[in-house]
Amino acid sequence: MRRFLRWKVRNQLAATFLAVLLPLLAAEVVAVEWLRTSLRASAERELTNVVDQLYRLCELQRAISPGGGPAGGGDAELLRAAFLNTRVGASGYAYCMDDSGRLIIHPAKEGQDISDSRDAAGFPFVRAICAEALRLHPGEAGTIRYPWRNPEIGEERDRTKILKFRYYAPWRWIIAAGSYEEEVYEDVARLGWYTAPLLAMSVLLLGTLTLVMNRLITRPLHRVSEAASRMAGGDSSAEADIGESGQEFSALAYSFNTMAAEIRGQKEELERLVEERTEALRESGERYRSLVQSTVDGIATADPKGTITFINRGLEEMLGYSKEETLGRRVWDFYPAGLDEARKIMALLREQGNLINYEMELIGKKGVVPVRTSASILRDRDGREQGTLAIFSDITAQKTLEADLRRAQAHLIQTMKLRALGDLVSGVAHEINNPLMASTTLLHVMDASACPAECPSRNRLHLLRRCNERIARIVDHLREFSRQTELRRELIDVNGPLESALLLSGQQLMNLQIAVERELASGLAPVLGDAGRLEQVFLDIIANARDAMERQENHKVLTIRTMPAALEGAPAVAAEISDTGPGIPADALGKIFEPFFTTKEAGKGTGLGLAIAHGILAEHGGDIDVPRTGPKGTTFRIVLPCAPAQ
Amino acid sequence: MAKRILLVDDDELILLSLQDLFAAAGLSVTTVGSGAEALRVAGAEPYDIVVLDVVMPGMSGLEVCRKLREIPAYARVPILLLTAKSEEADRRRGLEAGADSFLAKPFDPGRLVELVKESLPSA
Repeated sequence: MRRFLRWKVRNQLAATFLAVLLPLLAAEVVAVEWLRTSLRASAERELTNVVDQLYRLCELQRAISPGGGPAGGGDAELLRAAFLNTRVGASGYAYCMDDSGRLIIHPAKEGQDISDSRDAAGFPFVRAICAEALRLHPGEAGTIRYPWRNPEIGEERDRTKILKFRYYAPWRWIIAAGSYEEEVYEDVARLGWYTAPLLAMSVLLLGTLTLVMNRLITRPLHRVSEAASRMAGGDSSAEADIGESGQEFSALAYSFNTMAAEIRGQKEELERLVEERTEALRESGERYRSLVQSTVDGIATADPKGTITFINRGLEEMLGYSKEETLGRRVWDFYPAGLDEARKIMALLREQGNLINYEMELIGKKGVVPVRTSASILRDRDGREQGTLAIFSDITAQKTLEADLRRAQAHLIQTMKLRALGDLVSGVAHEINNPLMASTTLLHVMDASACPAECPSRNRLHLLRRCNERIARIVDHLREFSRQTELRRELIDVNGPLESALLLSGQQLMNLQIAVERELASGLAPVLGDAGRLEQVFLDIIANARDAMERQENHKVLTIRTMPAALEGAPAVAAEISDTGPGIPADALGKIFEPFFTTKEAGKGTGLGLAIAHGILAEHGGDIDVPRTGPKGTTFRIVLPCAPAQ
Repeated sequence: MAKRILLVDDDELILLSLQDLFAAAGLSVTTVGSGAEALRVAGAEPYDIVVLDVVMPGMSGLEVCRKLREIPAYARVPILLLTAKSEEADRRRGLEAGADSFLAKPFDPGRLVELVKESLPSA
C-alpha cells in the first residue's frame, strides 16, 4: 500500500482502473459463458425434444396399428411426413434408419445404406451411432458430434454437426435429428455478437473515464509542480495557472500563489536587506581602510609563519620601505635582534593574550626606528591562530625628548651639586684660611729671625712653608671654585684670553719641549664675557694638556685653534685645545668635570680645574666638552655664544 | 719709642701670630678679640695704627672702623682692613667706612708688615 501511494497519480489511476475493470470483465465472461452453456443446453434439449416427439409419434403409430411395421398404411405416411417436415435450425433435419445403417426415412437418401459413411475426418460415424444406439437405455438419447462437409452443395469447410438420437427398439429404428452445431447455437453466437461490443464499450468507457480523471487531477497538479520548479529555479514571478479546475485545485493553486507571492515579497525584502548590508559593509570597509591607511601609526599583519601579509601607509613611511619591499618577507627581518625578538614577542603574546606598549626597535631604510608596539594574535571564529596584528608608534621624538630631558636633568643636578659643593667649599676655605694665615705668619717670623745656617730646624721650617703653600693653593682653588660673584661682561675676542694663557704657560711648555701650533682665526665675532675667567679656563686646559704630555718622549704638540661655530642654532665661537697625550681613559671620561675628580698624582692637582672651567663656561652660556680622545691625543672644545648684534 | 698698634680679630690664632709678627717688626702690639673691646681699648689710650678683621661676630670690622672715625683722636689714625674678600664692593664699603687700606686673606706676612710701616706716620 505504501508503495502504491508513492506511485504517480496517473499510474495510481491506471491501476485503480485495471483493478475495477478486470473483475468486471471476468464476471462478464463468466456470465456470458454461463449463458452460452445454458443456451447450448437448451438448444440441445430442443434437438432432443424433436427426437423425443418423433419417438412418441412412432410409439403412437405402433399403437394405432399394432403389429404393423413402419411401412404400411396411410398412418405410416403421416409419420413419414412428420419426419420429413421436421426442421432443425436453417439446414437441420430428422431422419431414421435401422440399426444396420439403412436409411428408412430421409429427406434425400431414403433406402440407402449409409453404414459405411465417414465424416470429414474419415471416422465411420454411422457405425458408431448404431453401436451407441443399441447400448442406450430406454428413454435415453445419445449425442454425437462430427465434422462434416457437404461438397454436393458447395461447402468448402468442415463444420461440426451435432446429432441426437434414440433407439426405438420395437422397430429397431434409430430416430435421429441433427444439424450443424453453429445453426443450433445460433442464439449463443448472437449473444456473443451482442456482448462483445458491450464489453468493448465498457472498457472504452472506463478507459476514457480514467483518462479524463487523470487529466482533471494530474494536470493542475502538474501545473502547480511546474510553477514550483520554476520558482525553485529562481523565477520568483512563477504562478500556477490551472485554469478551470475543481475547487480543491483552485484552493491549492490559490494557496500556492499566495505562498509564491509571500516568498516573492520575502525574497525582495531579503535582497533589499542584502543590498543595504552590502552597502553598509562597503562603507565600513572604506572607513576602516582609510582609517588604517591614514593613521600615522604603522599597522602590519603577519601570518602564523611570520610572513608579512599587510602593511599600511604609516608603516611604509615610518620604515621608508614600500609595500613591495616588505610584503612576503619575515617580520624578524625588520628586528635588530632578529628571530630571537620575534620569539620573545610571540611568547609574550601567547602568555598575556596581547602586547601593550612594548618598546622595541625596527630596522628602517635609514636606520633603526625606536617604536612602541601593541600587538595581538588574530584568530578565526573557531579560535585558531590566523597570525598577528601589530601597531607601531614611532617614538623617535619622544626618545630624543627623553634624552634631552635626561641631559637637562643631569645638568641641573650637576649645577645644584656644584652650588651645594660651592657653599661647603666656601665654608671650609674660610675656616682653613685663618689657621693657615696664622701658621704662615709664624713661619715668616721664624724665618725672618736670624736662624743660623747650621740650625737643624731650618730645613724643617722650609718644609713647613711648602706645606703651607700647598694648603694655600688648595684653599685658593676652593675659593675660586666656590666664587659666587658677578661675572664681568664685556665684548672680547676669544683669541685674547687664549693668547695670554699661552703666554703665561709658554715657559713651562718650552721647558717640557712641547711644540705649540696656533691656528687662530682672525675677525671672529666678539663674545660677551669675563676675559680673566676665560683666561683661567684656558690656562687650566693647557695645564692639563701639558701634564698629559709630560712623560712622553717625543711628538709633544699642543694645538690651539679658534673658529666660528654654532651653539643651539645660534652663532658662536669655538676654541679647541688638542694634545698628543695618551688620551682620557673611557671610565674617567664621564667624570672629568666633576669636582675633586683627578687622574693626577697626589699634590699635583686638586681635581677642581675642569669643574671650575665648566662652571665658568656655564656662566657664560657656553659649553665645554671632549669631542676626541684616544691614544693619539685629546681635544677639548670650548664654545661661547657670540654677543648679540648691537 | 715704639709705635703702638691695635690688632682686632676674633680668631685667637691670628691675633697671636700677628702679635709675634709685629713685635718682631719692632712695634708695640695690643690685641683684642672683639669690636666692642676694640672701641673700649682704643678710647682708653691712643694707638698709632689699627688693623681690623672685617668678618667678626657681633660688631663687624666695618662698624668698628666707622665708630673709631667718630672719635676725634682717631680721625686721622690709619686703619687697615683684613678681609677674606677682595672684591670691589667690599673695597668700596671699606672706604665709605673710613678705612685707609685693605689686605685680603690669605696674605703674605711680609707684605702686611710693609703695608703697616708705609701707613705709619713718620716719626
